[in-house]
Amino acid sequence: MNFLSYVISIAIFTILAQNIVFQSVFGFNIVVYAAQKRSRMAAFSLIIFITVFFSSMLSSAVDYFIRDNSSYYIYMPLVYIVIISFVYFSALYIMWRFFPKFYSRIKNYVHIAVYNCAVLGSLMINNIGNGFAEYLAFSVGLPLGFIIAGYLLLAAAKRLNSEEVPAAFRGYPITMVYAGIISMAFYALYEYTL
Amino acid sequence: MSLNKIKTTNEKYRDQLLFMATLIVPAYIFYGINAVVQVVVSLSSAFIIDYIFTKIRGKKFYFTDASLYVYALAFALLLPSDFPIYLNIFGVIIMIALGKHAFGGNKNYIFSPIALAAVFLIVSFPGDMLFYPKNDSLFPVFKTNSSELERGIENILSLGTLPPIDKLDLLIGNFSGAIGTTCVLVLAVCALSLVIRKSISFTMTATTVLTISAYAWLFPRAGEGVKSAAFELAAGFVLFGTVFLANDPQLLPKTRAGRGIYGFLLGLITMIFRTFGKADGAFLFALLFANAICINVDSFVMSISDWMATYLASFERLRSQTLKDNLPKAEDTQEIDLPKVIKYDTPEVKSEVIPIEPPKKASESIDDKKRNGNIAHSKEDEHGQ
Amino acid sequence: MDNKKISVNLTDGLFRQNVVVSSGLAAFPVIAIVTTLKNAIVLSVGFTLITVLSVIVSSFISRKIIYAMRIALFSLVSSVIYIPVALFLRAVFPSVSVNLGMYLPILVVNSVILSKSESRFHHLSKAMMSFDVLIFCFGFSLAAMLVGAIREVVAYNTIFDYKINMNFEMASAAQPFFGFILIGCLSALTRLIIHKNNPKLSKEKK
Repeated sequence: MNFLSYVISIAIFTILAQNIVFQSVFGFNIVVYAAQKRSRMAAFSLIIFITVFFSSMLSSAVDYFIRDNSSYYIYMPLVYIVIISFVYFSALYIMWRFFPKFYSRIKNYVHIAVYNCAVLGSLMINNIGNGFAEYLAFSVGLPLGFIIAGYLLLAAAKRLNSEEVPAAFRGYPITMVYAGIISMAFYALYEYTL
Repeated sequence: MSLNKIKTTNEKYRDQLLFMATLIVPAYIFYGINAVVQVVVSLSSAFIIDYIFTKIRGKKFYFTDASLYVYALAFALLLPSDFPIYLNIFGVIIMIALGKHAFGGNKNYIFSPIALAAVFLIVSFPGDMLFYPKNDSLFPVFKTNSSELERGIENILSLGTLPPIDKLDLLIGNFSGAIGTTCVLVLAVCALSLVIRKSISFTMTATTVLTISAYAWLFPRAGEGVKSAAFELAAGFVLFGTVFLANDPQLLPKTRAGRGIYGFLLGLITMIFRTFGKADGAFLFALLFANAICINVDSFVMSISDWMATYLASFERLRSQTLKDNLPKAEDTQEIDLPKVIKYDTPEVKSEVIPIEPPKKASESIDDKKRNGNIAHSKEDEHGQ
Repeated sequence: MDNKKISVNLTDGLFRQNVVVSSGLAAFPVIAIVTTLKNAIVLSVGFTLITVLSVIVSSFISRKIIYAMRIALFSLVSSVIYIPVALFLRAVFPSVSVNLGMYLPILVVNSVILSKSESRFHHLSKAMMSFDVLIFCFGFSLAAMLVGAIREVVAYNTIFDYKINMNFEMASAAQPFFGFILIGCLSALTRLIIHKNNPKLSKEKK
């Protein structure tokens, strides 16, 4: 129970204080693209959750052996891309074989949902000298943070693209301002230097 | 004015402005002319900046728009009395330009402009925003004596101790804080009056206060029971923010359930930020979050109520039909609990299509009657009889 | 597969389709890490090298392979190209490239390489494509340097480590939220400048 509560507390911390979209700014353009439609957001959330979770578990094993190598930072992206690709192709095969209807619905954007900064960034954040509990918590918390960010953008999408917003700000600019304000709201969890 | 009359948005703002203005009196008593200077600077700069941005957008500027004065006065009342004037003006620019006009003006903004500007200043200039002059230390205008500044009671609570303030001082606001947020008694009277006048929502206000009190009672940071709840309510910007900021007519949900959800989330997030966060002004941060989360709370509540009405109504209809011995139609497939008295014996459903023979007519048609000679051949003969 | 050629405006990457202030395809490192002009320059060099080389090399991958598989190959190509680029940046800019942290390796999956190349670059001839990518990277560099300069002046009152006499210092300008808001405002300004004579803008509701 202690292990579980520790994992849950780190996951909640990851969702709020280290939100992958609003604090680390990984995958912001992906979440904006996904938040245009509810069905797309749901599909992206599921794909990113599965990819990050399984990739993190695999990368925890790989990191254990090669983290101490001083040149690891140079070929870290290559290692992680190979891991993500393995998970990607395995998941594609399973979906094509056993869930063909679902596969036909998501095949247009599954590749964008997998190969993006949110997924690779999640693996890189997870790499910072963590034990298995932290890997597990981050692999759950980071995609959940993405989902929460997507929900917040989806909820406001109608207002941010409405005719009331000045034309110069409509769409992308005001979405950035909106994201900035939400990012600022997360600062309640930080201490300021006075 | 009749209390039953439905108020327009501008009337609600005017009411809020009227009652908010009463907070200037205790502010002047405790902080002197500095408090009034902050209010005047905020009001005048808000007027000018809003006029400029309205003209840039090509819209008409309405002098009688009470919302502008509410924003400016509320923002000023959130500041310390010795706050630098140039930062006051900077905050007003953020409030009007970013919080209001960038989102499309009065009808479309998502976040409380006042909370946005205050949070921006707290994050950017915490040394100026979160240190307050001790009461009864009247500073000369435009100068600050930093040795007589101290943190607010929200900071003391976060350290796990109750501030040394007695009940009377707490009620009248005789402790360090922003110029308009400390006088609990006046704020309570304002809240009550505005609720009676229907200019603010009782549901939202009560839910927020109850949520914060309940959390402080159950999980106290300092002290216990009533004391913990009282200090958590008096600390930071909670009471002032609940009455005036969270009850912004443009941002308040329209449905009662929506207001309850909004108030509950606001109170809960405030206390979570206070418990797990390290910064002052948690209420304002929580208000920004609650604004973002509750954008579509009305449509959520309406969809739930529509679903309940559809589901429950169809269930009741099925049940009453069955109890009257009318079997439900084939497309109604919901399971219902029947009393044991009624035997429910439906035929087996077959998937094949069985052609149904047209029913045999019990009586002869008119043509048959004519052929058989039972009736006259012409209508005149029929009618003649 | 689809080998159709398209005609493009080669200056799109500077303003109209700038990947930071117009389309936001590569705004994330600028928001998060470009807090000084030095950071902006090193990030721009890294972005340009990784993106240009990746787009050119990946243009040789056969288009007969379906896009779902090709994107994996694009990512592998860019992560291989990252290795010499990272070594080069570590050698030339040792302290600043460490400051960039994980925002340099994350560029291997930036949307310019993965999405823009498929929708735009690979439909052009090799020479045009190289020039077009360079323009896009130049647009990124311009935007990054502008944001870096503004944030450095506001947050630290310095420009390229030279102190400026200013009475206004706002340390929070180095935080991501300020980056979001600044890029939002710059984006609105860019749109105004580009569409100055666009009749759609003047048809706002009164």
